[in-house]
Amino acid sequence: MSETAMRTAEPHEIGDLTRDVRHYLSTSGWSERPPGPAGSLWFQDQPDQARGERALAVPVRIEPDTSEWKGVLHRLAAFEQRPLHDVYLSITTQFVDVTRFRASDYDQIKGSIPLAAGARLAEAAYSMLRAAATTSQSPRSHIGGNFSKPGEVLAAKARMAHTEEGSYVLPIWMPLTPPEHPDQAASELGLEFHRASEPPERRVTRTLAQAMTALDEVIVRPEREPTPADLAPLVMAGVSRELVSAVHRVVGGSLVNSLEAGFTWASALHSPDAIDRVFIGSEVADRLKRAADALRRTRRHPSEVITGPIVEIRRVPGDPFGEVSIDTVRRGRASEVRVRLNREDLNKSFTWAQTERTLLVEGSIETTHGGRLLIASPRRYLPLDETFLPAGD
Amino acid sequence: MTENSPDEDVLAVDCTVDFDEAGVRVQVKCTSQWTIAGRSLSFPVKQEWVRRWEKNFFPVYLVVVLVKDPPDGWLRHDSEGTFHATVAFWTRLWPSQADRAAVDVPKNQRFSMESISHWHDDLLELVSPRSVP
Repeated sequence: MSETAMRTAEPHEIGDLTRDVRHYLSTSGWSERPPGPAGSLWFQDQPDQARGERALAVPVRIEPDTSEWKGVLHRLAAFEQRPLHDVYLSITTQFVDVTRFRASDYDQIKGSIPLAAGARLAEAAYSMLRAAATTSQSPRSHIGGNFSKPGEVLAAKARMAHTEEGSYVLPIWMPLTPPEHPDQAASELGLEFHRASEPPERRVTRTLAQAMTALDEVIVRPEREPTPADLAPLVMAGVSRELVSAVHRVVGGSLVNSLEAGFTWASALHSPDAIDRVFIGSEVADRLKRAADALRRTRRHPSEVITGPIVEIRRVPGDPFGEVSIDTVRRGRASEVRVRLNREDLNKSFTWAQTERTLLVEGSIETTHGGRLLIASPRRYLPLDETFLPAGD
Repeated sequence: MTENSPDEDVLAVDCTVDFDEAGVRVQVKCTSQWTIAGRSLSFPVKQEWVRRWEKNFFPVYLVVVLVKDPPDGWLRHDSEGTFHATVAFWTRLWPSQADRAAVDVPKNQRFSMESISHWHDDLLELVSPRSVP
């Protein structure tokens, strides 16, 4: 055995970059050949006739700022005929949900931003994400310093990336924990539909996107004051007083006249059916302020309400009822709650499951003999965003 | 071949020789301390770049270029061209050499076009043993 072989045979922790490169190659038409002691050769599954067979050597471990990582990156960029930075982002953000906060002002913000406004934007971005991390665990109208502990752990994972060109764009990266069990075929599990559980970090960003969307639908667009009845669905969507106050701090000052939140979902996972972009202008600042005050007074949401995507659908031939499993958080723990549904609701569930809609279910949750959580008779079962759509839509 | 920027010289490797599959890193040193004669030379190495090469999974090489002193003794600008009275020897750097103050460079490994082919084989052997008979 060569000395290099001896060195690489030692146990080591596989870095994220190694996982990212391998995942990127295996999902973009490359196949790995049996490895050698220091790495492996990857070949194109369907080589281009004109360019011949391409081989790429990938070391067993890839670390940032090494010539070997740069070598892989340069070769892939040349092969794909794409700018190096684009390929870099494609590889490194496969397991990252990106939220881009953009502050605009026609006069003040052109490539740079007044320092005071920039500081406020960064602070507000953190406050919004932190509030969403807590409401991703359990909806709350007013957090009041009582942040959820698991939510705080998740919020701490978020990273501020380099700012991007544009009015003023602050990207926040939320790295995801890949699902332990990648998508298995539903038929193998005896199910009609199956999808891997949503990573907890994805739940945070999805809650943020959902909350911003709800804010847009209920507070920003209607040219009227929201009623207390409007606020309850907002809270279920993840809106809290803290989130609304943070948005108000950005658009309520004189330096910024709009805040835009854009969401780019990690390519390695399914994308949730949440809106990709929300725009909030300073003209609604006063309404936001009043909504934040009203949220302080809003009573708690009903306790027997859960939200989350559908991860399983099962039905038994001949049985008029079937079940879906909702991936949710209950009492601070990731849980799957089964919901018993009639044929009509079950049929609708297939579309909602495929498009990753977030569902809201209200009903008594019981624990079955097998230890499963079950809502046997849901009082409400519908996509979350339909709960706050204006009447008549 | 890609010459690395001067600020990367602290990484102890001067250039990367690129093959289709990947690159190998090469540290090139020029000296007038030794002559072409003899079986080997013992080249002193600095710990800072030793630590760098041991992080590489792919092969790293040291090339020592021997020149005469003074410079006008090895570079001749004739009407027929520019002639270099130089010779280079190479050796592969191994992680086990990391704690040594000097590296032995055998003089039977004289740098030529065949050396590049040899380095390519070294690389392929590390990533796909089956590709080398």
